[in-house]
Amino acid sequence: MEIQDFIASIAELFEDTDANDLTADTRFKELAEWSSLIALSIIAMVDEEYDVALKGDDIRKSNTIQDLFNIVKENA
Amino acid sequence: MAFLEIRNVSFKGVATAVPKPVKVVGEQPFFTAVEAENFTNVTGVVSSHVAPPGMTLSDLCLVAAEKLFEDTGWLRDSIDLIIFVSTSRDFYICPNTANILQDKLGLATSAVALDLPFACSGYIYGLGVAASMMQGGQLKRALICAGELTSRNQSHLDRTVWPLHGDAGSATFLEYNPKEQHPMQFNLGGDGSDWETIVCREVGVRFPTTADSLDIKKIEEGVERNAMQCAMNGMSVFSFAISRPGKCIMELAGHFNFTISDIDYLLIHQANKMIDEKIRKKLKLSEDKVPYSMPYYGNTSSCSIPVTMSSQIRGQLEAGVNNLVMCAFGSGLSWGAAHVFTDSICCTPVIEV
Repeated sequence: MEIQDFIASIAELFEDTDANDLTADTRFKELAEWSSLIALSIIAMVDEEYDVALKGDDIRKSNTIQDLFNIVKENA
Repeated sequence: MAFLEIRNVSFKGVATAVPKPVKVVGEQPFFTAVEAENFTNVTGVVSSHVAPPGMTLSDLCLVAAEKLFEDTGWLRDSIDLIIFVSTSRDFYICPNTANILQDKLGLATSAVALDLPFACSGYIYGLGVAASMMQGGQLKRALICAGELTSRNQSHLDRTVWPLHGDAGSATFLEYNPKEQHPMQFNLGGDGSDWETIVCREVGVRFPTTADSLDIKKIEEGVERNAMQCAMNGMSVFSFAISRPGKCIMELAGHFNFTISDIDYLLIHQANKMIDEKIRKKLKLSEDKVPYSMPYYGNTSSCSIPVTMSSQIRGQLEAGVNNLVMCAFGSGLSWGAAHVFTDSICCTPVIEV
């Protein structure tokens, strides 16, 4: 499980944000495009690609993409 | 895993009733026009029905059951078992609402009457419990009344639940039938570690009701409710709903060795369109095999499956044999799937009360 693949998958969900601007340290909930629908899309992507069921709190307590990746990794 | 295989029980009929008044997503004060449109695009819900003051779920189930008695010609005293599946009970503590309906419907006092206080997953549990009790042949006929007045335990100021849900009640007939060729097959499960995901908190003995329980609190923009009303963690529900039900169905098909693509219909709990579409695609089912009733009825909790039968595939259910998978999931968390064959059942159009 590679952080680069995870960032790429997250980048696909942010249509209006340049993928090159996203790094492990990006605070994804502070991006202009962030919405509850993108939150659901992240949950769906993690379910499909990693077979991990994220909880609402996992999104809530994660600030950076790395934080989220760590949770996925722990539960995979 | 709890797999059940029940022989000698046939699914004979279903009727559904909704209140006449309509709740329109686009008219809710917590939504701008754009927000309402986005909500409908994601959830599939345009409008639903909402019970007027004074109406209970048992009132709706009563109408549905009366219609089913009329259309099938079944005699009242032939019912040996009545199960009321709902959290919208006439009395939260006691007595059971099944007893109230037993009396109002004129059923025999020798009939077994019990409540199953499930929310969205309830229809599968109602079928499973009833069929299990009937398979020995002592109980010949069962009536299952399932549904919810979601409007009674939700805040109309909470946009995470109010626009999604609708009110509806149903009646289902099962019959002991030694000639039934197809067993009913079930896969049931639950996970209480996630009990907080969908909860009405201060209405039981864990967190007793106090005067403060009635205070309406602003949780966030567009979300105001008191501590007795339903609180739903939308993201956790979504995550659970796109993964667990699909697995539950695949486990059912694997255990009982049937092919999912052979079924005529998947009758899925009308959680919301985005969730249900993800489940449909995971199971590789074509759109015509997964009918949706949520556009004009919303998520009606344990009535989702009966509403879909009555409003979407009534003609097909009345006309011949149907190979069905039903699946429902929700508060508990709990979930269940059933593989059921029906043969020219009685299915009434949705009755507006």
